[in-house]
Amino acid sequence: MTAGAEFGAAGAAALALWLLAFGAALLATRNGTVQAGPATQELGDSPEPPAVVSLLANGWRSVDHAAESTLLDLAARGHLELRQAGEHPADTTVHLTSDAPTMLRPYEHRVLARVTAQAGSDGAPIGAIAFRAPKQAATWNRLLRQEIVAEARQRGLSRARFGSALGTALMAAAVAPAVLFGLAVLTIGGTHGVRGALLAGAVTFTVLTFLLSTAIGERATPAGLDRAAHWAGVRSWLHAHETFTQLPPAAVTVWERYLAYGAALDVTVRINQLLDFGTGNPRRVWSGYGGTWREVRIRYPRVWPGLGARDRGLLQRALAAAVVAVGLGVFAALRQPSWVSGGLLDTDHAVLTLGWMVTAMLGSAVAGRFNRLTAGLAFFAGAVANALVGDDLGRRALDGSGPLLGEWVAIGLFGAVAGLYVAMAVLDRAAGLTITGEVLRIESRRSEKWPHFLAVDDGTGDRTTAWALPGIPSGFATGSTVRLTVTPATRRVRVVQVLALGADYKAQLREPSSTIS
Amino acid sequence: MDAVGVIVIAVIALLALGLFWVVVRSYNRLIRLRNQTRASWAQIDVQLKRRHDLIPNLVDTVAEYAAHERGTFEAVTAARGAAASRDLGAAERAQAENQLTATLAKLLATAEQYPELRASQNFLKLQAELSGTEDKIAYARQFYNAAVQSYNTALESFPSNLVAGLSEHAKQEYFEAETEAREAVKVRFR
Repeated sequence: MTAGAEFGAAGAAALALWLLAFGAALLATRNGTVQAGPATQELGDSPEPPAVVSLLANGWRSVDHAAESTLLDLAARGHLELRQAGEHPADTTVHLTSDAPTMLRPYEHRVLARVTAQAGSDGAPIGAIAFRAPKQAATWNRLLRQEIVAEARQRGLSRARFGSALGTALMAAAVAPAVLFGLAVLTIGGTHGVRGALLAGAVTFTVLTFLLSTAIGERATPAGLDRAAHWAGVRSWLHAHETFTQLPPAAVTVWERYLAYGAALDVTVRINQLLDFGTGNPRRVWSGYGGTWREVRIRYPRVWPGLGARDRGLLQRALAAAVVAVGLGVFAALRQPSWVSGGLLDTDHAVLTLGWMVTAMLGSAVAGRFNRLTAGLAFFAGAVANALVGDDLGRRALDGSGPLLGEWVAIGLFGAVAGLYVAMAVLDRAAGLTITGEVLRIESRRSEKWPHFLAVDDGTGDRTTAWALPGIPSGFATGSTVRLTVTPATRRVRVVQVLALGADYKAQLREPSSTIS
Repeated sequence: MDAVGVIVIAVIALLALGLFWVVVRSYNRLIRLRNQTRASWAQIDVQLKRRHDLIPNLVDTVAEYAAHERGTFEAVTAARGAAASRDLGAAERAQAENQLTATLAKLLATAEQYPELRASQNFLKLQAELSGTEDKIAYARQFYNAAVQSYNTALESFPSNLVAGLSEHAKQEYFEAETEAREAVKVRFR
């Protein structure tokens, strides 16, 4: 056996040992089973806060509905007020009360701060609590979870799944297979021996540490299991009351903390649907721009020729479309039966197939969507078109009698596209629009290369269509008040002026480890 | 048997199966709701009993400082005895408990006139316990009434009303508190 093979075998053995140790660690630190207690309405003398209950109820894996239940808990304790203005529970608004909160827990502060940022002194619809930026929502919820876990640990209900010693030992042990695999590659040699060895070692270590990171989390303590059993009993009690599942948020006035615990235990289905501390619905966003809260419906124009294109790009596309149209016309006019018999192409089918394929591919290129998928579709379309026209039609097409109906359609289509792009370029150059409003959403399109969708509420209506934003300038975030100079035809944002930073941006700056997009 | 006959029989069998499923589902739901009203009533019962147990101590404590308020003590004791009777339905029980609440409010109002009593640790502790029990009674009543509402609604709704007619189900009474009396107690306790 060569040295390389020996190192490889040793690496494999080390890997197997590591996986065995990791499996044993997982087995030894798995959560105990929660034996649900009897159904009861008793919360206990000093019950855990609903947010901590949500951690227990979710098996120490997540804190789903912790924020919602904390909001209800704050309302039950008089720090907030929920008012249902109309018949539908979605018409509920949240208001700050004059009761100055004291001795709040960190995550309660966080929830209250979020509500305060949105509601101000006049209140806001509950739908407005949702975040408009996914990154901000993710950061906010991650920090919320950390704070809840910290409290659960303080109460002796939760602990880290892997202690620091076990985690460090497993991570250190992951070095062994990584080094051995690296040595195996190095010994086998070749011109890229060192680089290959480093790569093999890095990949092995990365994979193992990734495995390790997936297991990092919380697990129950015996006291935690005991309390989880009690809360499972409370959940059974609440769940057995049919009306409880459909209670609106404003019912907190009557049910007080029970509603908060119902939300934490995922019993209050309707409330958990209405209250959202996530990213909300990108197509329906609450906006308070102009002084009145209203739900703005956003349309994202995903099928819009030339969306976000510059003048030069439009003219290039127009030229390409015109070339295709002219090329098709020339092809139809000049083709002769002699092409077939002369040996340029073997069959008339091939001529037609090629013509259709080229047309379809050029079409996708003009539309800016040429890729492997569209090329494949073009090939398929060519084959289908070929089969459809058939032998007789194919022969007639080659007898010099002029373009076929389909070719006329294609020529007309490409000619129209060329004209449309020219008209858009002219319109964009002639007319510019200035819009002032609040940024509702910034949604990325297929990749970072493409302009982002920018939804702005200018306060004139309840519907808006997103604009194409080529890049995101500094200080630009959801909630900011901006003045935009835009082009009407391609909906491209030409100039951005940030008039006022939004609460979302300021909140991002305050977060210790957030990323400002 | 021809094809039409087979189809007709299949359709009838399917309908019968569907009907059976609806009946079973409605029946089980009624049973579940009725059990929930009973369990909720049991929770009320537990809390009321806890309150009844507190009352003798409370009366004794007040009597130490205000022995001549005999009429009030007797009223409380009598109301407690009436409320603790086992043979009462929900409505009668609610009435008796409301009466007890009213007499308790009077007792506590009396206690307010004795500064030494108000400073008594024993009295304060009993007051706090009574206050906590009152809160629990209020919640238990809410749960009970919610359960009764679901059950009674099911008894009046189609098709469970038909199923209810075939078995022993009857509308339940709500446990209603006299708001005025409750508020009087709550004000005292806070």
